[in-house]
Amino acid sequence: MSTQHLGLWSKIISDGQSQEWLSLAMHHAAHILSDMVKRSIKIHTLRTEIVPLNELTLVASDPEAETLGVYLSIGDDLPGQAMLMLSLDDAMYLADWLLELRPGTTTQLGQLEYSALAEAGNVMLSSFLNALAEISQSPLRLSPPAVTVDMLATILQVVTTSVGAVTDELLIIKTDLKDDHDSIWLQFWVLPDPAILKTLNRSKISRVLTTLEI
Amino acid sequence: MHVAENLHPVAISEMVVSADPADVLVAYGLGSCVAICLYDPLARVGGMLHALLPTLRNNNRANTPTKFVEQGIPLLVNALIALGANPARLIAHLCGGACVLTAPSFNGTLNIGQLNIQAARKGLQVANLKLRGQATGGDKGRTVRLHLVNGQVTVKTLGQPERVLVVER
Repeated sequence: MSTQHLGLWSKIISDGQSQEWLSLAMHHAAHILSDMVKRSIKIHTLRTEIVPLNELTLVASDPEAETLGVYLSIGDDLPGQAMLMLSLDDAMYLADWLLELRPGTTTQLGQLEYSALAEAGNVMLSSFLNALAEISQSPLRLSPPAVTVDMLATILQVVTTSVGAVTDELLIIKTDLKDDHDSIWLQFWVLPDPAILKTLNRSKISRVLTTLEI
Repeated sequence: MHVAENLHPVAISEMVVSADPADVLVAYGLGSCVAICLYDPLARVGGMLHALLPTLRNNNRANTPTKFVEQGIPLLVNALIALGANPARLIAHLCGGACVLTAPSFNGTLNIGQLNIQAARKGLQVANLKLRGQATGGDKGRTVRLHLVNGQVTVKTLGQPERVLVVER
């Protein structure tokens, strides 16, 4: 498997500055979302971790929890995939903010709410990746967002399907975001192409590459 | 008599077999993955394979053969034989293979669920096992449980009550 196309991810993950770069890029994404909802959304933790495929769905405290997922795939110089996840209750809360409704108004997600939530995921991921891509001045290609509501384990399984043939492990950049009043909690995962794992010096790294508590 | 249940999660790419009637094997939130459940009602042994993909490509040696439907089914059958099962008595259930995401850009991954279902049906046929119950396809995730006490397979989807899969004669 060629890893030449993974140069930018390698630089971001392996370089000593990676924590700073990831943090800056994610702060940028949080800032964009804050602007969209006119509330302060902040990073709670940012962690880069290697997770075995078979542990992915078992780490969830409630794998059957009703969850909304916004999925995108990423091409060109930062190949991979990304998923924004939040509980259904939080998704309805976020939909209210996005649609400028009184919190608690939305009790069911329809076409309009799905569209607004998909756009939020799309904008967050775009801003995160564009901030990283500025390092290389390289073009990026994002798929349109796909939105689904299902069990948390089902949502998590989505990210394994496209890469499962070539890897038994995933590298995940996990970010937890909250608003100032802890009204909503978002999990934002970016999963670089798993071929990146072949470029890392595994003897020198632990399972958790970086952790940032803010 | 009430049998206390020991819940054993079967993770992606894993296979679990048991001869303990108190065990319940569970695969949470199957999307495009499939769970193949086999049970011998006389020996009261059973097992579940939670496979991610239909088959190993290019005849490469798999690090994790239970990740693949085609390679995993014979391993599941052999593991059950080792526990005392008679393959002629094995009752097979197949669950999963949904298409959870629908967007124009995901055409490449959309068919994985259907391919998994096809691979499982073929794999069971090759192993000379008759499919006796199934809950496959659709666009919703499923949690599947195999109860070792009686071989019952139950399926739960979001917002729906858990249901017992009917065993077809």
